[in-house]
Amino acid sequence: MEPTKELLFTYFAGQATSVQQKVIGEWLMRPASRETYFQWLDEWERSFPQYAPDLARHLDQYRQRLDNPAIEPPRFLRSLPEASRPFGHPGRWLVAASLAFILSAGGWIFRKPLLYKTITTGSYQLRSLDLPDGSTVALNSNSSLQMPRIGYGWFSRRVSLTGDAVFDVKHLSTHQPFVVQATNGLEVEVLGTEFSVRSRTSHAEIVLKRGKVNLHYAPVDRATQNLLMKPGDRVRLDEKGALQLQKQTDTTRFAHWRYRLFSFNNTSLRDVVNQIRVVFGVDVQLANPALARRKLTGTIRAGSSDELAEALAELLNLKLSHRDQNLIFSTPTEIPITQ
Amino acid sequence: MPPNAFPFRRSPDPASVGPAPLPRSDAETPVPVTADHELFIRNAFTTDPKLGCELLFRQYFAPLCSHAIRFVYDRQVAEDVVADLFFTFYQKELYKQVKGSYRAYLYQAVRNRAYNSLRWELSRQETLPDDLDQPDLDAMQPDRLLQQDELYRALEQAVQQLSPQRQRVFLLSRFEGKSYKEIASEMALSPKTVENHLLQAISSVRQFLRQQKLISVLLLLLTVFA
Repeated sequence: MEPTKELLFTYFAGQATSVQQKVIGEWLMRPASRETYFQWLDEWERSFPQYAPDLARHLDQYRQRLDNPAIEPPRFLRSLPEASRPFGHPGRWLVAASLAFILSAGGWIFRKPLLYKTITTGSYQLRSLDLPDGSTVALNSNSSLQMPRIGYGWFSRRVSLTGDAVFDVKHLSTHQPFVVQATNGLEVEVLGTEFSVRSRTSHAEIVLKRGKVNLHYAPVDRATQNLLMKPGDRVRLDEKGALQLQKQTDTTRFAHWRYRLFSFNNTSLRDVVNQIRVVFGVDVQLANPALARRKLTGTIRAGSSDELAEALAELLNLKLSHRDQNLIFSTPTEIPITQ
Repeated sequence: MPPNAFPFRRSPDPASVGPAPLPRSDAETPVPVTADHELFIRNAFTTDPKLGCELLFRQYFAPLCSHAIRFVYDRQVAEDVVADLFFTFYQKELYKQVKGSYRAYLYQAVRNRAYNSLRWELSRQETLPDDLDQPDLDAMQPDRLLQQDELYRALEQAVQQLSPQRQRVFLLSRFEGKSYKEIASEMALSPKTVENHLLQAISSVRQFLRQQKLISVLLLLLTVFA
C-alpha cells in the first residue's frame, strides 16, 4: 500500500496509529520511497516550522566561513546549570557531620550486609555464579553463599555456604587457597579443583570430583581434625559431629541436583522464559515479540540456564546472545536491538 | 510490552487532530517543483560550488534547523549543527558524492548530527568520529528513519510531560535562548528556581527516554549502522 502525503504528515506529527506506522515502515523498505519521504518531510517542516531562525545572519556567517575556513566560528557551549555548591552554607556542615555520624553508626550495625555479599536461592531456583577470580559456583535451591565484597582474592579466597553448591575452583599462579566455610566449624581448603559441598544444619557432605582438598574440622568441644581428600572421596559429617569417609564413590551422579528436567507440552516460549527466570534467576529477552508465541514440545535435561537456552536455540533455530547476566533470543537474521 | 518494543502511543482519528488534512492534489500535480529547484542548484555546483552551497543554504537552512531542534531541543545547538553540516559539505566537497537529491542527503545528515549531539548531551558518551555525513547513506536501513522519527516524537512527549511552569522555563531557555536572569524576571521566579527547573527538565527528559528504551536504541543505531 502506498501511503499518501496526508498520512505522512499525520505520521510526522506523531498522530499515526500503529497500523499506519507499519504501512509507512513497509513503504520505506523500498529504496524508491526515501526521496519521497524526505520531500514530504521537508514540506512538513516548512508548513509547521518549530521556529524561524535568523537566516540572513547565518548566511552571512556561512559566507565568511567559506571564505576563511581557518577561522573557527564562535562555538556555542551550553552552560549547563552548575551543580549546587554543597557546602556554601555553614549550617550544612552540621548536617553533613550528623549524616556522617548516622552513616557510620548504620554502617556498624549493618556491617554484615555491607562487607559481605550474600547470594540466596529460593525454593525452585538454581543459580550459577562467576566469582571474580574465574571460579564458578553452582548453587542449589534454598542455599546461600556469602562472600566478602572487598578483598576477595587479595590475600585469601573465602566464602561461606549454607546449603548445596558445586565449586569449580580456578587454580591461581600464587597458589592462593580457596576456603569454603561450611556450618559446624567445617572448612574445605582447596587448590583448584571441582567438588560439591552440602552444608545444612543437620549434616554436611563433601564430594570431590577432581583435584585435592584439605578438610579442617574444628568443632567447639573437640580436637581439630584434618583430612586430605582424593578424587571420588565423599566425607559426611553427621549430627553427632563425626566425620565419615567413603572412598571411590560414583561421581557420575555427582551433585545430581544440578540437573533438572524441563518438560514442555505445546508451551509458548514466553512461558519457557518465565520458567527460566524462576528457576535460574536469569532474565531472558526476546528480540522480537513474535517469538513469544512460538510453541514447543519436548523434554530437556539441563544443569544451567545456558545449557537450557542453548538447547532451545538449537531446537527453535534461534540466535542466542549474552548481555550482562541476561540472555537474548533473536531470529538469526535480525540484530537484537537491546544491545 | 516487551522491553525493546517501541512505544506506540495514542491512536486517535488522525483527521481530527494535528495538521489539517491536505487536499489530495499531489496525485495530479507532478512533484518535481523542488526537484527543478535542485536541478538549478546542481548546475550551479558544476560551475561554482561556493554558489551552489549558498543556494542550498538559502533553500534549506530554516527547515533543517526546524527539524534539528526536534532532536536537540536547543535553538543554538540546532543552528550550529546545521551550519556545521553546510560548512563540511563545502569543505570536504561532499556535494560531489551526493547521488540522490541534496534534500534527502541534507535531512539525513542533519538527523545523524542532531542525534549525535543529543546522544552526547543525554548520556555523556563520547561522540562518534565525524563520518556521519557519508553520502552513501542511501543503502541505509529504513528502520533507522523510523527509529529516528520515534525518537523525536518521544522527545516531544517527554517535554509535554513537564509541568507547565517547568516546560515554559525549558522552552524559554532552549528555544528563545534567554538567560536565567531574563527568564527569572519574566516569570517572577528566583534565578535559583529557574536553574532548578532546567536541571530537572533535562533529567526528566533523560529518564523518560530511558524508560522508553530509546537511548539504548539510539546508542545501538549509531554503533551498528554508523
